[in-house]
Amino acid sequence: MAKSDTTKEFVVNETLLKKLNVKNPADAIGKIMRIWGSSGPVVGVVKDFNNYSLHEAIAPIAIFSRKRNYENVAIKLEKKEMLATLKKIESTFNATFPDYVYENNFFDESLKGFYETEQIMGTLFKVFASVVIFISFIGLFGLISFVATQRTKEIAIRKVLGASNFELVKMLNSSFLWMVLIANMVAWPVAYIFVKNWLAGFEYRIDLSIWPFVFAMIISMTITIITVTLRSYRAAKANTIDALKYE
Amino acid sequence: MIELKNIEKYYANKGVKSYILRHVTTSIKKGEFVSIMGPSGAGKSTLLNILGMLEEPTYGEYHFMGEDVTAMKERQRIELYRNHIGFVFQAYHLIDEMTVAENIEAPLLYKKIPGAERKSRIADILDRFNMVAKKDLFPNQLSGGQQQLVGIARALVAQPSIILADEPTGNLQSAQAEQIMDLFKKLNQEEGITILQVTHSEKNAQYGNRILTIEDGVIKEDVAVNS
Repeated sequence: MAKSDTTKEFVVNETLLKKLNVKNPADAIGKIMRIWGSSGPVVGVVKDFNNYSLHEAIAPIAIFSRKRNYENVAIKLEKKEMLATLKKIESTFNATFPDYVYENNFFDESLKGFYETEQIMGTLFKVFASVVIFISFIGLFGLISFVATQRTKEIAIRKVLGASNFELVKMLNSSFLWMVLIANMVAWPVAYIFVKNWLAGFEYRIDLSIWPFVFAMIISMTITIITVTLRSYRAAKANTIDALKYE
Repeated sequence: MIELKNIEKYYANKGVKSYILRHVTTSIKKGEFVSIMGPSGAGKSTLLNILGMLEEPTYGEYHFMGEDVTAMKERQRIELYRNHIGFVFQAYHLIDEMTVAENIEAPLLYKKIPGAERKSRIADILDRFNMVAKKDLFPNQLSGGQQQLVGIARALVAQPSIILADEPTGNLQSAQAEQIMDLFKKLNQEEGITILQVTHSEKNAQYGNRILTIEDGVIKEDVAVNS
């Protein structure tokens, strides 16, 4: 576009063309558009970019010069000259628009602001999820310890009947793994619904794949197997007669 | 079948040794029915526990069917439990969460006996003990005598070479006790199963063919029973 302070020509994005049913960008070039009282030809088409946060769809966009909008200006700054340039911009603005109050924002900060909620939520969520997972595992460890102690007598009897340590560990493991499997089956649909709803708040989102669920199951089962094996191995190795002596 | 040489078991308390068993040397042949008798605290149960590998002697040698038990690895001990030794406890020690049939089945599972044969052995022994009607009951639904019968059935179903019984009739009324002692005698005489029982009762000891008396941790007497 040529330098100007009046609306002479337009650059549009792909979404605008889509909305106007123009299939081929080349067809748009040269066509006359009229926006807000000014008309001019379309001189260029840009690829779509997210002008709003990812929560929302890309809008149809027309880019053109307009004096009345010069209260909003985007300026690219050279890092080395930044301070001096900012001062110059401020004085120029105040001279040109004496009735307006000068305010500047750095674009990267504005962008960050779009997702501030998400980032805070993300951190909070990680913290609380860790706490919940930690508490669940404490519950699991407690249950494993309790069951191993409760079944000490049964383990001792089975040893006298010819059970090997491996068979005893396997016996305790299978009961717990069943429980963890069922817990996973209950958690999956709940998590799925929750995440699907959250993602729906974004126009631009990733697809929810099966992998996070599979990993959750693998990790929970692995931790269960390790804990149960350690605890039940200890119970199996314990002195048989001590468990059977006191009646 | 069993050789004991200088078996000793003591507990050390502040450097002082208190002996539970001392200088115990004896042998038990296949097919014998031995009663171990003696006053309370004499060391009878400890001796039985050592024979059943539930406790280890602090000194001495124990040979079972020619093999040194104290030198045995875990694998070999398990093999002995599965194929040779059946234990009957005074307190029955059934698994409360399993039915009578499941309790009797347990040692067969560890012996890796296939399903069909397991079923047939269990049915067989339930029939023998007249307990078929009770096979799906739980231990807490049975009387003491019935529980002990289940314990004996469990010890027998694996067809062991020797049964170690720790006061098997200790918690039973005399009628049930008689029934069980008759059973033991029958098993010993008709099937040649070696039986070792710890007992307080002179009457029970008469069912066997040998009495070992233990007093203060040593063998005081070793006599044959005159029938």
